[in-house]
Amino acid sequence: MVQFKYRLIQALRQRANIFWGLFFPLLLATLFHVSFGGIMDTEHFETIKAALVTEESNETFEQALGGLDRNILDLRKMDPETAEKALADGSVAGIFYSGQTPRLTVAKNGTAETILSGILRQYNEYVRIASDLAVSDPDKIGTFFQYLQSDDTDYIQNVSLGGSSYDTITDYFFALIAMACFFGCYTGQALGEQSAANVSPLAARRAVSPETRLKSILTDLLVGFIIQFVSVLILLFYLNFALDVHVLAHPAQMLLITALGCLLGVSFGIFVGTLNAKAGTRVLLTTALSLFLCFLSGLMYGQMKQVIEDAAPIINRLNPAALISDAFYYLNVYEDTAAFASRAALLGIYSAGITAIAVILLRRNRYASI
Amino acid sequence: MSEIIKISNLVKRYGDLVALDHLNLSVREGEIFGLLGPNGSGKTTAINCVLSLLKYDRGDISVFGKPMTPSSYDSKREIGVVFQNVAVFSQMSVYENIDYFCSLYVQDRALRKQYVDEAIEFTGLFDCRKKRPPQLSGGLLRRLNIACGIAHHPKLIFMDEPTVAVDPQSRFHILDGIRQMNRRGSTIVYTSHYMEEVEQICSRIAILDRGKCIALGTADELKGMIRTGETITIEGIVLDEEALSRIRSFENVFSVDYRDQVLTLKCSTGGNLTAILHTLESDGITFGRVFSEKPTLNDVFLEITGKNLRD
Repeated sequence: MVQFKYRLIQALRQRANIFWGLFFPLLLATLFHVSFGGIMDTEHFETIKAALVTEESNETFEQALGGLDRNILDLRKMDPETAEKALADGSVAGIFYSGQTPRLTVAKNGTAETILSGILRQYNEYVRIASDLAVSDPDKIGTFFQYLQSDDTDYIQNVSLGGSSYDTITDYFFALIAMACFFGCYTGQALGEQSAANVSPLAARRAVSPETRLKSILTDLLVGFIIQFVSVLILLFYLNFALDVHVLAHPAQMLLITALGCLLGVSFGIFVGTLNAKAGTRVLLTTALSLFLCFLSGLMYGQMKQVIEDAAPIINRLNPAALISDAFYYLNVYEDTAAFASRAALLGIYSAGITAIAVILLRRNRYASI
Repeated sequence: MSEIIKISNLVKRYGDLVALDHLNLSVREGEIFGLLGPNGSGKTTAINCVLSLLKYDRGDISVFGKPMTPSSYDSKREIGVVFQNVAVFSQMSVYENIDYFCSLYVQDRALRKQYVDEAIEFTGLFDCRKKRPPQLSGGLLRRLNIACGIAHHPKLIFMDEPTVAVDPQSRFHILDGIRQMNRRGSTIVYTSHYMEEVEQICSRIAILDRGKCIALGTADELKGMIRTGETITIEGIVLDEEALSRIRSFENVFSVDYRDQVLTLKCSTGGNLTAILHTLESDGITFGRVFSEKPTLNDVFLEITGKNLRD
């Protein structure tokens, strides 16, 4: 117990790690909230003008677009030439092309263009869900189509299959929570460095003591996990109660995913911490990999995950940050328990695997060089 | 006295480099055992092998009469280590550091508190027990490093160059502490590059070079192993070639160095000073200050390991 107390004290006093694990996600959440505030506020929303060009008949898509709130989307059917002219002179923000695979053309980057892109993405997502439901849960497909045809499918204030409110901006917050979980790697790395005798003299001092290696590794893992889990809990409460981003609709499942994500982040950090490389290389590896995985999960570009899902879905299954945000998404938006469970299971497997590797590395009895 | 450490035929290679070459050593209970050697001679490697931190290619190591392995927790409980590099947590205070490392060995809370207080007093860290390592001077850090290694009252202590980069006061304090720990019953294995320290505190000394033990014995025994029995230095002396030739022919003198009016003679035995001075006076040669020195451990070290620079 005394070792746990001191390891906890020591880890909590590492200000840089606490900043990255706790304060940076809080800061980023606040920045997201401020940045997306205008988009989320429907009362101050300017209607977006868009053109619809029918290349090939796709009634479902056209009905879905037509069903959107006209205060948000002013959609006009045009022929291709007129639509392109309208896009060029700025009288429409984008052109939807109806067909087997609907697509969107925009002339520039901006809020209106982002929203149009979000509409198309959401449509594609609905189609995918419908296809999945047709195979896995045909009973629910009726409810799903009812929902699509209902008046509740306006763009900003969506209602999930389970009834909880949701908007596309929440995606960014899901990716942010995934990042916060994964940033446990910083604390994990510091703990790992203090456990591998070939990495630091401190670890060598611990290794020559009679404390069993397994006990020392599990103590460190628990310390790292608790610090990161509490940090992410603070973030969840901040999002839910201070920023009014509803991420705690399913608290038990959210906590499960958060816990698995934190365990994965800390284990990964411990694994990197034990690598016999220069200190700078280890920090670089942790930072580069965690940010890259978060980028792929949509933290910097909201549609990244969808782009990957369309092109190479295996990457989303392998990327733990994408798994975490996916699990949140399926839980809060679609209440698709099967998809949620599969993401949770994958996360569990990855967490167990990385933890096992970290334990095996640290339990190595003797080193070739120190 | 029983053997507390026994190293037999130990071989450790780093690729093509042989760091320990069939090393044989034994440390007896109750002694302060000095381990000397040039940089890269294998001192630290030998200690790390004994502590089961390093893999080795061949050989046997036993500590307290039992084979030493990474899971020799009973043996480890009786061992203290003061590493060459300061190994403490910079985020924890002096007290917390010592208490943490002591807790790895001592579970009883009251006993641990007593040990930690003793270690703080022993290393003179009471006034800075609440400070964190970044707030300590180099000497205080070294003392903290020692306190963390010895607080649990180990029977066997490894000290790997514990006095590097500390001021004379701290060094005196540390050396005095080592003697006290030895009197208290601890066996100590001590490595250092400071010959006078080793000569001062060690009961037996081993000189390692290129992974082998090339000399072993008490300081006096080691001094007896080299050719130099006495070094005579005469300052302010003016000699011509004829006088130098006469001096070179003296019995027992095997090395004559004359430069800048300073004459240095190395003799194979002691007690040559009177005869040499008498001869110089007879020849009417005047001179200034005269010194006669018995060989030091430094002389022994340089003569045995050579004067060429090492990495």
